[in-house]
Amino acid sequence: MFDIQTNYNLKKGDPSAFKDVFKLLYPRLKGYCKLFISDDNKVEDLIQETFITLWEKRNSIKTDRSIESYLFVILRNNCLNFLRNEKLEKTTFSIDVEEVSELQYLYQIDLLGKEEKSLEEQLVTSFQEAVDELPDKMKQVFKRCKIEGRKQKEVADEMGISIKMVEKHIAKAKEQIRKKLVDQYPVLIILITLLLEK
Amino acid sequence: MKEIIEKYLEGRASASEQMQLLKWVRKKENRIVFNSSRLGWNKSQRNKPLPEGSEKSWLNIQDQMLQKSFKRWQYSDKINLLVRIAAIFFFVLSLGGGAYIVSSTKEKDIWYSEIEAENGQISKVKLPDGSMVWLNSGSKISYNNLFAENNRDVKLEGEAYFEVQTNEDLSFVVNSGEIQVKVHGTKFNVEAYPGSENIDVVLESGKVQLLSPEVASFQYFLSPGERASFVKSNNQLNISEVNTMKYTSWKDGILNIYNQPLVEVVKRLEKRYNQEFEFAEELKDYHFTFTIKSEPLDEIIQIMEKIAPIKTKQEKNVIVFELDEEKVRELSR
Repeated sequence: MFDIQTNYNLKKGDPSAFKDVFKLLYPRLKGYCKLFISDDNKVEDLIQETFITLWEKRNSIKTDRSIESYLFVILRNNCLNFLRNEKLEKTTFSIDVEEVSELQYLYQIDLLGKEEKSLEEQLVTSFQEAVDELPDKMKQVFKRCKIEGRKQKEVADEMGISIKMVEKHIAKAKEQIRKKLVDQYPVLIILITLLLEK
Repeated sequence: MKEIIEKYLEGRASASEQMQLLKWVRKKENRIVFNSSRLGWNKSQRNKPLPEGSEKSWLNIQDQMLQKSFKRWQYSDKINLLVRIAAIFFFVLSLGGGAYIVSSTKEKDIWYSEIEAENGQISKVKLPDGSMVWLNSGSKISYNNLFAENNRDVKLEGEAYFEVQTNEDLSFVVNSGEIQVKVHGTKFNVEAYPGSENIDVVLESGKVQLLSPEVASFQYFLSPGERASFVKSNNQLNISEVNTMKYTSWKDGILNIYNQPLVEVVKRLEKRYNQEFEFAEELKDYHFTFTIKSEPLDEIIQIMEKIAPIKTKQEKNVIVFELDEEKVRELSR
């Protein structure tokens, strides 16, 4: 935990306090990110984005609350968004529970002070929610093609629509899911802010 | 484990080391050790450069910060921005505190070693004679270079728990101002913070003798389970039977607050968390009972706000306790 003085200076906008926070937390945040994302450049991007968000939101820092958990929650959301988008681009994917990387709990205990749901579970849940919210026909097409991995032609015949229509549904569904997920991000930020302000 | 923690904090721990650390830190009793190692590590990084491989990220972040504040400048006060840019380029390192400091001062041929546990730290020290000392936050002990040779005298300011090695020939003496504690081999706790009204000695096992450096005729033999409380203002010694756990569990990172007024609670929290507090006069008689294990300060404050009609606010780096009028009104309804 950082001392209150550092939190206070950071809130004031003192760059040296910001640099201290960066210096001490960069290695661990990177370690956490690497559990889920193998592309080093992407990992760097996400971490930079996280620190910029901290700097931008520094006004809402509560000096007696932990900066580690604030940063950690932002980073976890950034990772989550990235993984969802990546998933969405694959031809097919599963929305069953994936293999959970156990080590993330170490980072949770360290930075959050407790163990919470794994990132994988959160990913799956938010995906299921986004898919469930699609309009009925779009949902059926999307599920059959992207999750069950069936041929577009087959699905088109089964539902009595054209292949063009199937493609259109999938594109639309993707757009809608992406939009929902992106929308979720600011909501989460507000949630964190509220949390930190009690 | 200390090495693995360090490697982990520096991002150098292998997957199997991280796994080992996870298993270890999942045990509640290890958390406090983990937390204090982390604190120590934070401090050790004070004047170190950026971690390896992070320089580019840091430059990028500064770049983006600059760009964003530049954009804001286009819409807002220009002088304000000059200050902002200046601030972005102006880096001074500052991080307060320190683990424990071992220093020596010379006095003829006698050297004194001093060991100090700063606020926010509990230190465990092995003395040259093999005795163990747990130093509570904000406490220090000193002893000279002839310790374990021709004396076993230590000077204590603050609170410490001792596990003294048996040595019939050389008695172990704790000097804490008005009271001396003389022992041969035993486990006991001495609380003698400067400025505090009492000196308290709690005996867990064995036998200790209380002496006064000023009054030669004074002596008292304490039995296990007894607590001697010496009141400095009127030189009175009160003896009571106690549950010794309550007085010694701090050495395992547990802080027991049992029916204590806010004044005392605040003193303990200040030492434990190295955080300054103030409180409204009207709150000074509020009594609290709770136990702290490895919880962070914010959790403790939240609990205190729950069990009493108080609220906190932040004034600079001081946390201020105030009466929560709203809750008082709710309670009186």
